[in-house]
Amino acid sequence: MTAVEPSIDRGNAEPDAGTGPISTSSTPRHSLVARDPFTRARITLVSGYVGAYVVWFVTQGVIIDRISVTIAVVVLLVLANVGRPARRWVGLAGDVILYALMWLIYEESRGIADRIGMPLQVESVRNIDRALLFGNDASVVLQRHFYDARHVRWYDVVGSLVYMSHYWLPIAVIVTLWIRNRRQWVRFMRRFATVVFVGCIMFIVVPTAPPWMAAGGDRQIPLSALEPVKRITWRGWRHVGLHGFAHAWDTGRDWLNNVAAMPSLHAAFALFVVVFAFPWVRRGPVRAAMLILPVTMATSLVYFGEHYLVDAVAAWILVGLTFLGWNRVERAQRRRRIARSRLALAELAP
Amino acid sequence: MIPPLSKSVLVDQTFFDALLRPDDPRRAVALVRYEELLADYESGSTLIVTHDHALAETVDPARARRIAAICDVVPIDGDVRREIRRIRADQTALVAAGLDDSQLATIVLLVRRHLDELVSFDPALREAAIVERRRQTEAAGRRFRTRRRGRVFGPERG
Repeated sequence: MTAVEPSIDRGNAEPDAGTGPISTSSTPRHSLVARDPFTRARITLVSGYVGAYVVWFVTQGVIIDRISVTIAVVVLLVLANVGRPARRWVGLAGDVILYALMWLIYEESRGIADRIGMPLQVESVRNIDRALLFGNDASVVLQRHFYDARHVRWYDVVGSLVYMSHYWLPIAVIVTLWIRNRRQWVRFMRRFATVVFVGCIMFIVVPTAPPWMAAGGDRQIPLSALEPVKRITWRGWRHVGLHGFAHAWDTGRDWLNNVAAMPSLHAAFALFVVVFAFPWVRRGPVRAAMLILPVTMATSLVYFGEHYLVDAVAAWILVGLTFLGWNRVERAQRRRRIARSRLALAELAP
Repeated sequence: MIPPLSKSVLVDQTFFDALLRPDDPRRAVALVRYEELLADYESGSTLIVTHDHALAETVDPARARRIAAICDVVPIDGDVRREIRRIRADQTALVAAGLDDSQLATIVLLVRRHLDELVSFDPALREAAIVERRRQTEAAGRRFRTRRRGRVFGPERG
């Protein structure tokens, strides 16, 4: 930190900015402000939680239903706020309620979609995808060239692991931001909730059969809009011993909204996390490397028969528009505050 | 691309007083710095912070609050208040130097909230020797900046 006397000559304002204390006394010195005595307790509690989570991950897999995830997040945030002032706890309660509400709306969107009963999109999305890919069905083509029923290849494993990151990466970022920097958390959550909310509306209005379903993979909704496409997402997890997660995902399929394909939230979240982190990454090659995540996610989704390419493209457009929109809103908010501040100062002018 | 809210600036009572008094000799300097802060704030790169003690003790608290529309106003409670009490109890030499609660709140906030910069006309805070340690390294043709957490140094305890 710098003690800056408001001087026009900034050079004079920062004496000895690079090396040590300004004071020239030879008296031994120490930090005046002590560390928050609860810091160690919080670090211990959060470390214990993370350790327990790793054990759970290895034995049981990743929690994927949103309610359980929310409970897990709340427990972690409570541990990370031990010893904080009451005001902060009130803020935490408000944040958690909004966070839980977001996922509740997400979960409820399936019930609303069932009640409203909008027509299931099968051929329309497939046709758009074919138009993008010169008449090809991407899932069919990829599985024809790369899928080997007898062997699990390296790309099966990579794809499965990247797919799995959807269930922990955004949550890990959300929790980390809340603990480290709530203002960044607010920025993140505004955009994230917008993506989830718009996604939910689209799941209700445009229920879309994913490729595996369009190819006849669902016994309850027999379709034949595509050549056979297998749903092979789980193979990589089982191959590397993540049986717990494979089982949890397999069980979760029964209550997940299987026609929530447009836009792909898997593709959206993968790009979202990367785009949010972009301003902190100065080096072009690193940024390019970061984009491997969303690209790999989209490729995996198509290869596994989980989504059409157009689902991923729609998700990326949604993420882009969300960031642009919120950037504009936040800039407008700042300009309004500047105008209020200037007005208060202008009234003083002689 | 500048990371949003990548820099944090704490504005104290003396800065607001310089803005609020039309006849203050420091006002011209304060206005220039104020415009710089507005530009940084508008770009989204800078978080401007003040605290309720600083605003309450200005010559015109109501107007100071309006000018502080661009600031996050931090209430002085909880761990900050506890730490002020502890410093008052332990740092007798510093208390003797005449630092009041508002000045101590400024120092504690700077350290506990890891704020980057203090904008102040207060010579007492400079006496407290708030130090920035920055290291700039040239490596592989690229400039890296390592910003170390600041320390507030005071007289030896006990």
